[in-house]
Amino acid sequence: MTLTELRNHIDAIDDQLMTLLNERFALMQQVKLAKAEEGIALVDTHRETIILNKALAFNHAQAIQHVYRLLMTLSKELQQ
Amino acid sequence: MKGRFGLIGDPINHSLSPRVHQLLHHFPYELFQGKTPEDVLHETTIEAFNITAPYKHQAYQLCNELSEEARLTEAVNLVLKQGQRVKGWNTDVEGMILLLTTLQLPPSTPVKILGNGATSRSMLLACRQFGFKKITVYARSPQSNELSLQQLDDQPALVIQTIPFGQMTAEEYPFDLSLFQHSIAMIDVTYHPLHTAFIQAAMMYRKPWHNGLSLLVAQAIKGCQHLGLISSSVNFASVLLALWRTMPIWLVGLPGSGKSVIGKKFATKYQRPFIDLDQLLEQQLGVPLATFIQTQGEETFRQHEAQLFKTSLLKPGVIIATGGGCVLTTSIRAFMKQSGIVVWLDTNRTVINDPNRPLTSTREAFEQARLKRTPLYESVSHIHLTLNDQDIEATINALEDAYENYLHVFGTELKLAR
Repeated sequence: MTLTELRNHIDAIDDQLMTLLNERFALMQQVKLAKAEEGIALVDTHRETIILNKALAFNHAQAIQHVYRLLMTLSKELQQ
Repeated sequence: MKGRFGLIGDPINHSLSPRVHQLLHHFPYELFQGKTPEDVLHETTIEAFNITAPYKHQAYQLCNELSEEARLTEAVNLVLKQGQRVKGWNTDVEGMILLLTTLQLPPSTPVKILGNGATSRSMLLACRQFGFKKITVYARSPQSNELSLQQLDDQPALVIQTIPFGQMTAEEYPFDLSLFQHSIAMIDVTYHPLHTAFIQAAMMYRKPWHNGLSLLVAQAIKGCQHLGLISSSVNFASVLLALWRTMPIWLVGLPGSGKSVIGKKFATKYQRPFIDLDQLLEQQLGVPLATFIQTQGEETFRQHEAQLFKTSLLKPGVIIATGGGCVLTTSIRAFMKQSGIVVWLDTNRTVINDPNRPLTSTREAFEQARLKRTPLYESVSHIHLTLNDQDIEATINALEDAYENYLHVFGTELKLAR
């Protein structure tokens, strides 16, 4: 594959990724309300563990975990 | 020994003990299905028996002569009957010490043991007898002097995992597996499955590791020495290597990468059983796969495929050629990676216009499949074999080399097994 073709492919992935990330962040307001309603703490370490462990199924696990740690920090900020 | 020798426990039908004993000596080794320690104690034809869960403590109570390890752990996994004498050993402890010896770690190495059940107690005693000074036990329900799993930190240590998580995937583990990224070495006491999520984490972080196969071989060697079945000069590493060679191999790769052809040739050469999953699936469905996909859709096809993976019988040493798209199903990827050694046949060949491969019949569809599947092949495989347009003989040789290279660490240098 040429560099142009590779970049086109990356662009296509980014389109999907950004749409999904936006969708994910948009849910945080609702998560905040749901947590308040059910009296659940903001930080759920067990859930974070599940998400981070899930990444181990992929060969780029460490990079994925890195991204997710940041993602979880940003998500928590949105819930405050 | 003149009498019968074998194993009791529940369940024992998946036990690899008979296979290990076959590698160690020529004395027959039986599975005494459905028998309790009392049953075999009173069965006069039986002279010696191994005990696995849940009977190790019960066996301990029946002995009138105990090794020090058996006495301290109140668990016996080997019994020898000599007239009125009933002698019991705990070779799990002795085997673990043998394994620890091969790791050549200094006594100052911190040790973390996960779990506080019967196996954990044997591992703890082995670590103490070996001379480790700083040992911490972590458990779901910690007793005095133990810590909870939530208190695990990421400090470097030799980590010994004894909690029976079985086939659980990484996301189902109750602790963050990235806590072990600085480990000195990682040992999982089980071999069921072969590569637990814990072992997969060890591979991911490139830490030396051992699974239950190493422990199984080590304890069997110690046991057979007590029974006088083998000499003390038996080579631990070579037996372990031979046992690893009976573990399943999964072949994955794009359509046309040669999974069936190469798999079959490789199996013939090593006299191992061979299964072609697409062929098997076609037999089960009763119609050509292409027809099935066209009429029922890809999703239904993938569901049938996933079912077959779970039910396909894993004969000793079986080599399995998979369908090219099986890696698209998450549960299949997890199953293959756990249960065997996965080899990715990576080729730049493009095979199109094949009526038998409807999902990749056009060049564009094939390239799309390549883009989507390549990272999944990469994620699932233990061995990555890059194939250039070489002939089949050269490919078989390359596969042999890659396989031997992968197993090499178990055969020679146990000290830093990956």
